[in-house]
Amino acid sequence: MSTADAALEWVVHLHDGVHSYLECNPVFALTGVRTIGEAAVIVGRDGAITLLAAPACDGARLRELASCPVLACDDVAGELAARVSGRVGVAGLDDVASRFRRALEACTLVRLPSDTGRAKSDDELAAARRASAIAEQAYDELLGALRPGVAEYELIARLDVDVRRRGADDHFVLCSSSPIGDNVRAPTARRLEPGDVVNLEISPSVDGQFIQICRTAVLGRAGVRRRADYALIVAALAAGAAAARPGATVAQVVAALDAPLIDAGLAEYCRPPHIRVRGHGQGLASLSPGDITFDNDTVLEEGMMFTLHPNQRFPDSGYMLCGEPIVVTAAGGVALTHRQPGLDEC
Amino acid sequence: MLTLHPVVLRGRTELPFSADELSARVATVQRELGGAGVDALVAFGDARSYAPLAWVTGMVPMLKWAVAVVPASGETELYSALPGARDLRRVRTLAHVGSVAPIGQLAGGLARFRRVMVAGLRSMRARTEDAIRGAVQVLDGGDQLIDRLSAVPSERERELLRGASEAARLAASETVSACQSGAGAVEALLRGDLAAREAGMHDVRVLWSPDAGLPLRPLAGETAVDRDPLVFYFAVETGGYWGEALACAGGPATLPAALAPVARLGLSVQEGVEDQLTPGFYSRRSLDASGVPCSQTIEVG
Repeated sequence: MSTADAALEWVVHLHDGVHSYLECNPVFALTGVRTIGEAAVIVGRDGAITLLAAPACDGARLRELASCPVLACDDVAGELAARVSGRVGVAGLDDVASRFRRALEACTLVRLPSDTGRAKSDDELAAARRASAIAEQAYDELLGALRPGVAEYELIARLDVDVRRRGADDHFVLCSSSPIGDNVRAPTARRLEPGDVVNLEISPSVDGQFIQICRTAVLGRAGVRRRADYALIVAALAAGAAAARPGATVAQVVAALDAPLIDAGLAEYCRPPHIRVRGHGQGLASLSPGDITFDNDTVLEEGMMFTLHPNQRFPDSGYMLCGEPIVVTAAGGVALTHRQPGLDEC
Repeated sequence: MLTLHPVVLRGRTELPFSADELSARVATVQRELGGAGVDALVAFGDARSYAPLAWVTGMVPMLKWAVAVVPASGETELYSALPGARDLRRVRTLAHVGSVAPIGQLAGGLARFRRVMVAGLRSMRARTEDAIRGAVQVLDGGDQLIDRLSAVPSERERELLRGASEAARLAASETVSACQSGAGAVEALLRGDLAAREAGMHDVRVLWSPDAGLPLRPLAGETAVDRDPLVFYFAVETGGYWGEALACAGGPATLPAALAPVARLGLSVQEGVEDQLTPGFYSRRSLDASGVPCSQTIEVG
């Protein structure tokens, strides 16, 4: 949204500095910077962009990294109040502390969305490819460390450091280990046992662009039932990816993805509370096309990127994960990863 | 901690204290509320600033934020900003609170009260504050109440602080050792990070000087940097309590530019550190969840 829209004198994007894989960070999207503290991006009528960010001592780093002028300060709300007036478009006002609302109380505010992105840029896709390679390499390395006796947190520590050693600037990671597959969560002190099902969401970022791969590994032999169930979610992933073409809706992708599972009698397990979503956008910038759900009617465009993950609970096999970063192309969704999805046995 | 916030807290995660301790803390809060004629305490915490929530419930949100509502009598309730039912199941593993609901139900949950204290307003998101103020009268004094109740750490908390301090020192030591064995700066820092995580730390933050003399900054995906001297800082957390270490590997580093942001971060400049940072460890300072120092050790290695 520019100031030309709705006769705005200023546009302000706010962020609280608590970076989230689940939400668009407009400050990052507009400036290329992850701030340590609260931040505001001010866009003037002439299109000039200024970054206000806390703390003041981070100024040198911000000025080095930002694509715009920077004012590093300890009171972003106060500095914002001194710089904008009149009719102001503002995004993110409800998701920062209320002192920002007080700072803008003399202005006429027009609420704007924080996320207006669509397809990923060439730079974002290039970063996503690098992140995908990091995720795959780190996962392959991790398979060698999966053995009884190692604690979940030790495993994730090694994975996390390996991901960052390969060049990731951040990492969203969840895991679980249990005799029957379980939902992923933060790592605990539980030690792996023979026969455990280990589920992993591995989501590194390069230049602030995240991707996610979802994997399941078994400590030992997987068994016929588990392999058959996993083959179903691999088929679901392929069906969903094939449907991810320009002009299709997200809901249509989900319908295609769910079809093999519904045909196998798992319709009940294809909805909450057994699943949350079938995938999601990838931040830190735009999360477009949003959560991959049966009720998302967003129309896909070429170049959109998202995680597609038919992570699924089965009555006998528990919860298992399978997910890849997908780019929408005219030929359907193409994974940024290279290996064929499959259940790993260690 | 004034460091770059990671998208998720991904270290060893477990309940920090027992159900009995939760009951004792809640009872303490309830006595205070009853004495002041206040109906409830609302304690906020997000993944970065969580002192009120963590002191009352032990919960450190791995993502987004949560609110604990402690009534003057009755059971404590948690409200989480995580999006789905599956996420709420995760939240139930982070505290001994039986009632966990989505943050959207907070206003309804407060409707039975008239006057509440709120702790953590400074960090609270406006939409959550709106929900609270729309439901009840908000009285001053919530933060002061938490500060007063948490002022004297228990032995368990001191043990957490000692553990965090030891882990911070371990991380710094591993980094120095890696440098001495020829590892580049980034690899050395990552080895220190790994040491802290393998020691069971829940959160590990690293700041370093990529060019000795410049302000410290977070790692940002660098892969191979050689820096001599290497000035760096670790902050590590377990159970909501932090330990810190500042160290220098290689040759002497010029102050005060390298230390200015560190001092700003709350790490005091130790006596005897004047113009130059010579190789070794400079401080270990333990802070409680409210940022109040509990113990302070000076070590020059």
